[in-house]
Amino acid sequence: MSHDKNHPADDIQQTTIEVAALATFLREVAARAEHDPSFASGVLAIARASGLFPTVQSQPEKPTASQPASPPTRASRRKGRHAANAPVDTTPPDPFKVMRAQGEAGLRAALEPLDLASLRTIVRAHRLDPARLSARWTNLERLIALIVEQTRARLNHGRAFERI
Amino acid sequence: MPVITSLINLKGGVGKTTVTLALAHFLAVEHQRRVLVIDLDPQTNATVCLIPEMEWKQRDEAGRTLYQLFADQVKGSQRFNTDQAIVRAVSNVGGGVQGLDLLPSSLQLIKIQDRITQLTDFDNYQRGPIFALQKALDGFLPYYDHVLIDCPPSLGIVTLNGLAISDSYLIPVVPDILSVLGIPPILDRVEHFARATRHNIRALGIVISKMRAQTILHNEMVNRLRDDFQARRFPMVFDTVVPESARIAEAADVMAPVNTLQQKYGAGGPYEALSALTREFLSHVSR
Repeated sequence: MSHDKNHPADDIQQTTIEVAALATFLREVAARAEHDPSFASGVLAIARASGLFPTVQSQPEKPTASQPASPPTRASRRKGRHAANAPVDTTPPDPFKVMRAQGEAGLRAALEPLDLASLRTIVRAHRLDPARLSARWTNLERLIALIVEQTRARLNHGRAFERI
Repeated sequence: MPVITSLINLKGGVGKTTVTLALAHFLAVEHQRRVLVIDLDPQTNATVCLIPEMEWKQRDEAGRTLYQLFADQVKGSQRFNTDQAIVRAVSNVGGGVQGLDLLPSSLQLIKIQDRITQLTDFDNYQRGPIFALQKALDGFLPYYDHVLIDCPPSLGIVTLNGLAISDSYLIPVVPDILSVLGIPPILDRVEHFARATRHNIRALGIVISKMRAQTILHNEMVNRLRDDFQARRFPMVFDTVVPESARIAEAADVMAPVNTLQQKYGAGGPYEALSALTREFLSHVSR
């Protein structure tokens, strides 16, 4: 008589081993993610690509009671926004979509948490500065002002011609 | 007196405004010439490439555009004030180019064109406001070295106002079948107008614009245009060719932050071509 099926006791034992291995694996991943932001970003990217997690737009995190809101310094924003706040999504927002949906204040709010590289990506991706005058700017507020101004100008393009 | 040049083609989208604006910028910035751009095209494109559209709207509502000049002809009023209508130091380059001025157009010209046309006798030009622009600019032209007139894609009364003050005209063309078709009627009609008004208007030449060098059709049409010049059928074709370029298209954005012409038109190809075109233009008009 052939044994095509395992004995139920064997199955339970096998499952227990696998669960323990999975728990160990996840704990290792969680521990490393907590200490290594780039590793965490990589895991998140894979999880999102697999459809496991829904894509979340990067938004300013709401302060909790245990984490009172404090304004980030310019240096901390430039260096370690990813490390400090571990943003869920690194895809920069489309300034035109955001301004259409949430207005100028909404766009500013969406741009405020972004780092220098993300702001530059927005400027480049949407050709907001064809002459690339801003390529060497490091002042985040100046880049945000450029993005807001150029987005507003393009969205208002043609308004003067609407009624003649 | 300034050198006054109209840019004409009966077809739209052939680069009239692009060439007008490029010549104006390079003459003012690289050759320190005092330049007046007159935008006769009701599409108002040259105008809103030189001043923000909201500024244009305020001026238009205040009667400070060419609409008012032609409305005065129809209504018998005298509201147009040339000094107030000319916008000084326009363009986004460096926040405004000293010596580059604009007489702005208006979309409202569309509404009034038919009525002006009805006033005009196109056989002998003895009736109609053919010289309204000339009268309005009396006393202002000596200030400038160059006047460039961006004409609408027609030979109606508005364009004739530009030709009436012009020494010469340029024909921008895309080297394709349709835009080249418009050349013979322009040559014929301008000659007729010049004869009837006893006013010499030189065909300065044809400027190839939006050239796609990889396209067989474009290359064939350029060769044909140059052959037609050799056969004395067409005016001279400028050696400089303006390429099709995203940077030239983007240069139309008057709100874009730029400080130099290299930044406006993109260093390299487009900038070099437009700079060369301006030098070639100067070599022809100074003869």
